[in-house]
This record gives sequence, C-alpha cells and structure tokens, in this order.
Amino acid sequence: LPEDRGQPIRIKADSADINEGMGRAVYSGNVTMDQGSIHISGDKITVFTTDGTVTRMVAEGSPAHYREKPAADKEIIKAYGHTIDYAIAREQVTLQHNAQLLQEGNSFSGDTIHYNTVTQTVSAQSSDRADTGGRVEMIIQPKSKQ
Amino acid sequence: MPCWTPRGSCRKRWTATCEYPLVRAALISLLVSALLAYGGFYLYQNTPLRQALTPPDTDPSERQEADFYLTNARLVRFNQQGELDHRMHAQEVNHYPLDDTTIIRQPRMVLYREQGERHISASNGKLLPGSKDLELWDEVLIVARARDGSEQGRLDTDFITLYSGQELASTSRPVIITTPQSVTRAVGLNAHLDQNRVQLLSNVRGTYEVQ
Repeated sequence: LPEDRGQPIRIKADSADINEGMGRAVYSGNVTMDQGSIHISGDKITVFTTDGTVTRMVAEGSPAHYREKPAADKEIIKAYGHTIDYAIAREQVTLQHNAQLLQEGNSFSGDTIHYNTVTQTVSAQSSDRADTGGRVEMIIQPKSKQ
Repeated sequence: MPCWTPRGSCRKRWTATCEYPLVRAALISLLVSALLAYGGFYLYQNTPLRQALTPPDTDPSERQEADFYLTNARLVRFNQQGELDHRMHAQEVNHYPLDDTTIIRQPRMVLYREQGERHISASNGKLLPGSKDLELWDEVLIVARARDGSEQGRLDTDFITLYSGQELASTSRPVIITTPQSVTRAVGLNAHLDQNRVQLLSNVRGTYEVQ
C-alpha cells in the first residue's frame, strides 16, 4: 500500500549481529520483517542503515518470501527467490535465483525479477549462465478468465 | 495431679519419689534449669554475638570483613599512552581480601574511547578477583555518546559483566537497545564496546522507525 513506506519496520529473529558503526544489522534464524502490508521472511535478513535510517534490506532463504498488497482494490502480490533485495529509497524489489512473482493471477519466473512497488511494473531476466539455462517464463491470464 | 508410675524393674525407686511431690518437683525444675543453661551456653557459643564481643584473634583475610573501604570514591585511570581511559565515581567501595572482590555501591563510569564516550551506571557492582572484570546488576544502563556528545544508543538490562581486557560487555539476561531510530529487545548479548557492535543471542524483536 502507498502508506506502507511510512510505517515502522518490525523484525523478529533468533539472533542478530548489529554493527551501528558500519550501518548494518544481520538478523538470522526464522527472520520475518513487516512494514505495513509488506512482509518478507527468510533464513537471514540484512538491514542497511544510513545515519540510523533504513535504506535497504536483503533477505536470503531457500527460498525467501515477499508479500505485499499494492492497493486496497488489488490482490496480494507474492514473490519468491533465494535472494530478495528491497531497496526502500528506490522503491524497487529485486528477486534473484529461481525467482518467481505472482500478480493478479499472472505468473513470472526467471533468474532475476525486478518489481517496482509504486508503478507495480515487473521485468524479468534470464541468466546467461549455462547451468541454469533458465529462460524467462510469463503466464498472463486472459482478461475474461480473471 | 496423678502420679505417673511406670511398670517394670524401676518401680520401687519411682514409687518412692512419687510419695514426696516436693522432691519430684525439685527434680523436674533442676532438670529444666540444666537444660536451659546448656541451651543458653550453646546459643552463646554459636551466635555472631560471641564473634563480635571477643577480640579478633584471626587475620582479617581469614574473616569476611573488608580490609579497606572508600566512601564517595572518585577514580581516574590513564592508559599507557597517558590518555584518559576512564573515570569512576561510587557511593561506597569495599574490598574483601578473603576472595579479593570489591563491592561497589552506585557505580558511575565514563569510558573514553575513539568513537566517543560510554557512560555506564548501575545500582551495584563487583570487581572480580584481579580487579579486571566488573559485574554490574540492578538498573544497569550503558549509554553510547558520539564525539559531539549526541546519544547514539543506550542499553538497559539488569545484569552485565564488563571484561575490560577485551572491551566486551556480556549478559545472558533480557536487554533493550534503544537508538534514535530503533528499539530492539533480545535475551542475551555480547557488546563490543570498541567497535560499536552488538551480538544479540536469542529472541530478537526489533522496530525501526521510518522518517
């Protein structure tokens, strides 16, 4: 939701290593992060701060999960990936390695997916690595079926 | 009062005494006063009262008493480079030779470090043997100030141990860490005072305010 950005960020974890000097806090073990309707969970979440303000969060898991309700009249967006990089200032979520995003019945998968939390646009990329051979796959539901 | 006469071989002797109640009463009161006297002597021997009254005939280090104490104590310490390392103020300091510990009432410390000052306070403290490591308990507060004096963060707990040689503060108790933008609660912590770094050991709950 648009007002999510102004909400406090609440984090739960089994343990944490907070380095104020370096502006980085690593939360480990059953980590969940909630900010308004945004919910991220993973095995580890690293929170980056500048002068105490949170600027970016990187979740890692097998996979890590991202969930958000983009607008009151829209369905919840769900996304997965081994790494989820949430750049708060740029309002962009980047999913990497076996990334998948489900939006309004449509499904996107690929090696990397970029999702803009304001414009709700999705762009997916395959990786040029031979081992994954992953291509981008999009399943767009016809309007009548939605 | 009926006279209690046991059966068996000692019948004759008990029977004699029963005929003279005064003698029996005397015997009983003699027995009771003997018991009381012995009880009193036993108590006297084993109460602190005796230890207080009799002059100390043993070496202080043998007893639980302080060999030196300070009131309203102020302590300043410099490092090997001659720079101010820390200041301590305490309401009362007692050193006990028996286990070489020092009990401190209302310790207030300021550590002077490169990143800024660390203000440490508690209701009670105890310098452990060797006077290097310090235990603090009850209303323990550690405030980290930047070089410009602004508060960077504070740590509240009810027990912590400061390992001076390693610049480390450690506890297994619940803690609350407050910074200008966040509040974090956890159980158990290792704080590296020289690096502005904190490891939270379990049950971590953090809230960041967004500007």
